[in-house]
Amino acid sequence: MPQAEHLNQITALKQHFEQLFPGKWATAGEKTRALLTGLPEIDGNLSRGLARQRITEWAGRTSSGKTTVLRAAIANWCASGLDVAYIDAGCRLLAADWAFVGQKADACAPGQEAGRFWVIRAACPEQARPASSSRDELYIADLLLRSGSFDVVVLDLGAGSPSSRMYARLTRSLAGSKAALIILKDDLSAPPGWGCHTRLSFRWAEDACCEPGINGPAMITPAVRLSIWRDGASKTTEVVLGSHVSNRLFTHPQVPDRRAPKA
Amino acid sequence: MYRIACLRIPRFQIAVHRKHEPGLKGRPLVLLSGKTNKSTVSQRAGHAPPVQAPGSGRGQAVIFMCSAEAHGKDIQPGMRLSEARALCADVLWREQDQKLYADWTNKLVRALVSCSPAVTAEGFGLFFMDASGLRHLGGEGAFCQNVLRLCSKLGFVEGNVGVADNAFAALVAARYKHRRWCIVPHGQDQSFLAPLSIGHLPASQDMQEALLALGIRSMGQLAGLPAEAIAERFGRQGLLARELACGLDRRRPSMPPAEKEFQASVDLGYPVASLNETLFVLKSMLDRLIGQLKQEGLRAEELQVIFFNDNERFDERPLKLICPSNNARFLLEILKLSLEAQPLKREFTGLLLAVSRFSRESWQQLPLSGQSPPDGLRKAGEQQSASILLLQRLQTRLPGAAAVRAVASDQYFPDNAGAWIPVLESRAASAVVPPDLEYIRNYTGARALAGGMVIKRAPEPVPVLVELEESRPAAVRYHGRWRPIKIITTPECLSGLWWESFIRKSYYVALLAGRDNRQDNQNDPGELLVLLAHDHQTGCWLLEGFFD
Repeated sequence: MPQAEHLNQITALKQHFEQLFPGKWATAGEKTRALLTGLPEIDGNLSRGLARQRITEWAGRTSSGKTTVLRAAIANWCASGLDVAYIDAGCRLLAADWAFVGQKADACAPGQEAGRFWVIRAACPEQARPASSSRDELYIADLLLRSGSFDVVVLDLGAGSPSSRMYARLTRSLAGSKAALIILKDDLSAPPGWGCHTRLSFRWAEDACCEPGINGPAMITPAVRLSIWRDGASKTTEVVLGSHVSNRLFTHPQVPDRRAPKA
Repeated sequence: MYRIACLRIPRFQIAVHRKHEPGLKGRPLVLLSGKTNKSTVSQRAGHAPPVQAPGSGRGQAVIFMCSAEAHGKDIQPGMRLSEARALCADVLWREQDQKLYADWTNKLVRALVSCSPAVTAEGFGLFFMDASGLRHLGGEGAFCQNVLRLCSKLGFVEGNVGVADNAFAALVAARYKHRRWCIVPHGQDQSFLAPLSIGHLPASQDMQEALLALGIRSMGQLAGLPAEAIAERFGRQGLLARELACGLDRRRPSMPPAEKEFQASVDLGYPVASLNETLFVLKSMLDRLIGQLKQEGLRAEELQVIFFNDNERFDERPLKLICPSNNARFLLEILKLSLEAQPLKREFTGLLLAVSRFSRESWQQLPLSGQSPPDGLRKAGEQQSASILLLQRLQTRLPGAAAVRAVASDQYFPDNAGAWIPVLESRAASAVVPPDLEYIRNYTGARALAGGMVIKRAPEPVPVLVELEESRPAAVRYHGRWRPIKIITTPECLSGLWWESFIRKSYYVALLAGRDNRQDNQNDPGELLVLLAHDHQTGCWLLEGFFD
């Protein structure tokens, strides 16, 4: 048997063991090229974290918890000094949800700067998206990847499905970059795209946690069921989301409306 | 006989904004102190001015000038914007833009040179001109008419002209009883000024109050006082005021400085279509222009490229720079990006490259400690320049795209609880009310701030039908199908902003069931966690977004 074939077998075996016992079998080079999310449910099942220079699909239905989980990962990445860019193609994000991502966390070492979190808004939400919009988003992703300024680039395509050509171009851009590319898709039915290295599929779990209020539930926080696919192997786990902090804790209330009756 | 004319354009800044945005004409408009460069630059770039979100914290800004329409609604300079809105709900605002005003002042000075050889601008909307020797050119009346006609042609329809022997008397004449023009006869400046109020003098409020307390109300009374007594009581300021009251003002208009122009043109004589050839031509022109700029110690702020085909101008593109630069390589790259994003529609035979706006190169040392750069560009050095290059590329290729960062604002309504601000804009200049986070930090830690579900809003709120059971929503008709509500929160009832556009809504978070028992659709989107709002003003139920 040729030596190369032996090496391939050993590598495959190591990868298999790494999936069984995460963090024990990866080489030092592989470790530095990976990004851990800081979420034990994902890192424990996803060997070597998310790969840099590769495409990771983050797929789920329109409402499935994928962006909430992604935000938790982005907050951890920024806290550890990584720079993250988010391409919000449809301008669907609300600023209030993302205001504290990228702030210096308690765990930051003294002198360590938190990473940047930039959102690239491709078009105004009021404007109708032109037919060439996917080309624009592709250009932005390409620009961010080639700039070398960011460690993670998130491409939120909404319900759009990227073509094979798009994947090919992004893969080529990633080759000259240190970044990891995450493609956020609102489509669970489509198979993983060409060149997709890892795919995380999200859906709500059966149980939904309710935070009780005075007269009933104050907030619904369902758990998220997550399936991780990589190298043909798949694992399913459940992510419990953080509790909601209302902005009513803030100290400057709006001027009360004394003219109108209470709703 | 030396004569001076003074042109005064009241509310010059308002007129400039209206010239720039014709939609502001005839509407109540106020200008706010505290300029943010980015917003004004984006306005000048031809985009729509930023829409002010209701209650986004700009209300604390102070008004420094208001239009006649706003003045008619009892809005006064010095008020806060929120106070002005309480008086007039549809008042429009803009931030002052000194650079824009300076540009228009220079334009007016250059235009007024056609009426008089010596023209000097004294602040915004105030111009002094040499009006000597007009006897054989139709007289001073005709001169005033010509000046006002020229101003009207440039879009400044409101203007007053005063002519006198000295600048101060001409200025007071321009203000005199709101006449279109007022000519003070030669040698009668002092008698013209004598009965007028001392309020015209450029004296401090304290000095004017002191003079009034002494019973000195007119400039004639002030001129009659001995100079020594004035100097002893009020010092140099008092002496200056007395001199002006006596009709002594040494100010003279001078020739306007020659305008610096940085432009290069080339007539190729043969048609060129390819990008490489175009860039080759542009590079040589750019090198020459940048050499001139560096010699003068300037940096380009805006480039303009005009393409000609046999003397026909067919393409004109202004290129605004995020950060002023005199780096030829960087500027060439910007030109290349623009040509790649918007290729020329036809071949050209000549082109003109101009630096339409420039600024002086800064040699000031950055602060060593204490003052930090904007949050978006914390990391200094190479990373900062890389970020600027990235943003410039983005803006040149996709003018509609924007790199922003999120900032929390202390507001209740979901849309107003945060704002997207450009990454290069500092937090101090942003239009948000920063929340006090100490309570949360103390009790839950900073990580909790990024907790909760992420909402993705619909481009437009989707009107939906809602089935009620005991006055609580039980099912929602969405995408043509009734979806039972599995869990729903108690409503969050918010109302307010009556001074802008009254909002009275109840917000629910609802978990909609995936499919009902009668249908089995493979394309079913599954369970949906949605933000449902009941607008009490219209009675509509709206699906405002999805928690994802």
